[in-house]
Amino acid sequence: MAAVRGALFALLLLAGCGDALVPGDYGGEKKLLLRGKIDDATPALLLPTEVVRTGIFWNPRGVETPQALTELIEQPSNSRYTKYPGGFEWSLFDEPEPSQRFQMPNGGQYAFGVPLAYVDANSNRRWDPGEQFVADSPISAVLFVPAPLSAEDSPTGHSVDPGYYVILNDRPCSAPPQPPAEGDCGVPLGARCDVDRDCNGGECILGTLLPWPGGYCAIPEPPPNGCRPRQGALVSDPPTGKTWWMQACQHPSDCTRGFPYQCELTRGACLPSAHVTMVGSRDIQPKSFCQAPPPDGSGSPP
Amino acid sequence: MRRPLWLFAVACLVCAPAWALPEQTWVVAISNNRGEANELALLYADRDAQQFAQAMQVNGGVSPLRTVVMSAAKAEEVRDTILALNARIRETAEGKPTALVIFYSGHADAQSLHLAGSRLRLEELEAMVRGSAATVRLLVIDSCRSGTVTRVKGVRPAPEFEMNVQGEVATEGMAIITSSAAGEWSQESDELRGSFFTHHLVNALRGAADQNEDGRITLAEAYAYTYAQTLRSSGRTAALQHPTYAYDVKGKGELVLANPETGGKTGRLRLVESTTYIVSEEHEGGPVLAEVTPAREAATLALPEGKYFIQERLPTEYREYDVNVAAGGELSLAALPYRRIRYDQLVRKRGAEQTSVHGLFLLGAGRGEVLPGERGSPQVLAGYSLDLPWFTLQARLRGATASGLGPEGQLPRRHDELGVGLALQRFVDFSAFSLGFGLLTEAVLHQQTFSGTRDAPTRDALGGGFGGLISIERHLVGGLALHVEGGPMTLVFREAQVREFAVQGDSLASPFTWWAAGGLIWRL
Repeated sequence: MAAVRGALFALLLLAGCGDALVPGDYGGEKKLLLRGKIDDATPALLLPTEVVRTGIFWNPRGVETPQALTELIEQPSNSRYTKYPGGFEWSLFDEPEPSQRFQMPNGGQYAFGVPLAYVDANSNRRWDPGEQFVADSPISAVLFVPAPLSAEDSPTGHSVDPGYYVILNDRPCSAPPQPPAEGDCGVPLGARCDVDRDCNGGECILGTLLPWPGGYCAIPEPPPNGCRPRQGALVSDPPTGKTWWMQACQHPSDCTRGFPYQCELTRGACLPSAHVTMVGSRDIQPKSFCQAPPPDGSGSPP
Repeated sequence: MRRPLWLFAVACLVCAPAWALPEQTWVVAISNNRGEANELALLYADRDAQQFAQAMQVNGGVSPLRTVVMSAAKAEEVRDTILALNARIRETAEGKPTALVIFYSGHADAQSLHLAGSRLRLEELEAMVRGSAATVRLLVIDSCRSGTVTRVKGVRPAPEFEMNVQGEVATEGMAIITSSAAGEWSQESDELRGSFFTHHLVNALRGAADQNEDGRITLAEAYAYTYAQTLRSSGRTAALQHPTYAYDVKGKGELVLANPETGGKTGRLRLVESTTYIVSEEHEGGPVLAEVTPAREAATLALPEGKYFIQERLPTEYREYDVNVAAGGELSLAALPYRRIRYDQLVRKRGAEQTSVHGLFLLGAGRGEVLPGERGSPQVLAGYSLDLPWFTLQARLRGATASGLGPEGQLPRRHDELGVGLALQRFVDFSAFSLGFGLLTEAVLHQQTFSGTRDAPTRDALGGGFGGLISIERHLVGGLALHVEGGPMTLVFREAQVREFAVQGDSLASPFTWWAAGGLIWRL
């Protein structure tokens, strides 16, 4: 018996050495994990199936608004079957192919894509003409940068390191003039909060079009006390027209609160933008990467 | 080095004239299981004397009326009997050839026979035999240190058997054969139910010693056979035993001690090979009548009528025969059916002289799913097998390759395994096949490699495996056998936990699966 126990112990020791073996559904080292949900349209779409195919459709013209969705190119290897409606976790393993990237005159390149859901009527795991788009994301897009991009070349307006990113595609089309910000203000930008008084004179944001889990301390623009933080980033929310001073960032590591908070590249601020919300619709149309300010100009920073 | 010389010597006898024992041949077979008070009682001395006397009657043609068997004899009785017999030979010879054969089995030392507390000096015994009026006198002593007597004055010791003793005792003279050299022990065997020496001498007289195929056993042939077989038998024990031979003769010619073809209630059994035969009475496991290694192929053995179990020990296998020997009949083993017993079976039955059999095997194998999504992979299994009396030990080397396409065919991959293991089995042998069951364990080196455009690094891991083992073997030809095995198995390794096709963590996995293999095993 001692010999048997010794052999089993040796086997267990052996089994602890080296890498973990992966099962058949291992898809590789993921480049990006998209987590979010698909909400049904109102009224409900009443699809013939509970499963739709979600994919990243790349725009070879970058952030330029396409004339039609058919100009976008699906990357089937990054597409998944997803329950509709329902939550999803969606790993991207493949980089966009060169034909799916936007080539700049100076040789730089990036890929800009939007998540779309469609009914894969023929079950061939790719979108075919005639297959119905049933959901898109109002505000989320995916950016892939193969090599460092300068702020001038970057569609986000900020320099970007190589990699995959979830970005917001609802930034104002024209950057509003930023008022001088030189104060310390004492507000813990980006900190958790339940009510405004948790933010030491700032505002506790609990919800916009994005979910703000845990609350988020920010300073509204214009600030009630006139103090604009020099370490903050001015972020506008086009749908609501509101603007806040939020926690500024340049790299993903600058934001430490975890999912869904991330360094949102188009704003240069830590925002809960990693959660991708898709919404069902009977009429999916191409979207512009930027959104014009409301006609009355409300919400624009002074 | 010796064997060719004595074979040459024996071969020379073929051309010599041969003389059968005369009609007036007297045999005195003396024995006593008990020696001195401090000597351990023997078990088979009396039986040795009876066997020798019977062999001389049945195969040597000696009349029972001229045969004296003295069991539990004392020195005085022996002395009186031999002297009386000498007197009778003197009175009745009337110029006719006569022979006196004295056989002794019991305790002795360098000076005396030990007979239940009494002693008979070797010089006195030799003098009584020498003084006999018989024209041919043969003294056979089966006792410890009996070789001393071949150094007594008046006989020429043969320092080695190779000495050419060509027929010089036939017409007149004296020869002495002893079971061991001076200073050596003479040994008994429980298996043979007698001493090595007498057992082989009796078998020699039954025909096993017939070197020249003339159907007669000469003194030289009997001694040559007995010498070789006693040496071989004692070679398995702690002490070697070298029979000795000495002679003091006049005249030329060969003395024929036995003519097995002329036996009374005996039949003849023609053997096949010049290999070792174990002849047991009645059935397997019965008393061993003879362990013989005939001096040539197709030798004939004279056996009392009856049923026998005969085991023929060939280099590659044992053959077992059930034989009925009828008085006056002749059987040839070559024409009889037999059961073939391979050495691995013999080792496992603990019935072979050798205690292990080596083997090599090569098997193709398959296994159930171990990693989810990975189908049973073809495998090759090679190894070394060692059959031992109680179990069979195997060292195994296993190679396996599995491939897959990954989720939606996006990540083709290959999973290689190299396993080094040990298996312990207990075999049960049936007539048509052998069934084994046991355990196996192995250490496994895993490697997963991926192809395609995705980033998926090679994964190297060590793991273990253990399981049950059931095997069936069917002998094909020679040492080759068909081998099929299989059983349940558990492999132990670290397995990644995958969620949404990506690794989320890992844990120790021990999936339970099955495996099966089939192929050939070659026992050397």
